[in-house]
Amino acid sequence: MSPFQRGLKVLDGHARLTVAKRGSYRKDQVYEWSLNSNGGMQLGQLGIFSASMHFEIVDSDSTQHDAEHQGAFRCSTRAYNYKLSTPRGSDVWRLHWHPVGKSPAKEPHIHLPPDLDRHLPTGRITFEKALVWLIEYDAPLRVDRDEAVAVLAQEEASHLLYRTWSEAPPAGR
Amino acid sequence: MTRDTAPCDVEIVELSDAEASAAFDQLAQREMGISGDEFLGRWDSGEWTDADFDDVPGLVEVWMGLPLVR
Repeated sequence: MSPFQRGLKVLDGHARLTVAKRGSYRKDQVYEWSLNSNGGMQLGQLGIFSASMHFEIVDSDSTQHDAEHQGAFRCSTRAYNYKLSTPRGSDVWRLHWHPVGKSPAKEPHIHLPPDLDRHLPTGRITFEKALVWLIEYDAPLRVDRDEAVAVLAQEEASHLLYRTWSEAPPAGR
Repeated sequence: MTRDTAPCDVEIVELSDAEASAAFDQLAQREMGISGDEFLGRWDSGEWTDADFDDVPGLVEVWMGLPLVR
């Protein structure tokens, strides 16, 4: 979660990433991290940013990673939910990937007002990209805008380099 | 509750089992107006098996929190 931790640091607001590892991390178990224990992050007058992600510990393929990113295991995303709401509680956007249930949209999508029922396909949206969207909405920052965007681009880079899918998840996920 | 604040001031907090259970209950109460236990019972009974998650207010949020307790 360190890349998310570093990415959140550009925003001016109280943030902590909470996770329940329930013993120790192990394979074949889905974990969730969330922002402020699913309570979201207050971003001044902009509103509240909520974020959570499901992830699993999986074996890492050493041939797919450079020397800096070697290790026996890696985290693999299984679902995400990012949302920006106004101070009055109206949703500005909801970024979803929840490949379960009977939703017609098992692939990553966005819900936008005024018709929040529509599932607009997005491809996979990184957490860092969601943070860049917040900057576009004038979220309060701890650093200047250019530096914030640069930090997020750097944190996103490793993920973009090593992720296994970008538009639609492989069958079975 | 275990905290990791280095190298920046955005904390990573590892919840104990009791804290995770309380967080899940709080989430279910806030998003769907039911207790965590009631959500788990209704989930296990298959109430939302055929549901479009996006059609049930709060379901995506509470489902996301399931790994807190399972």
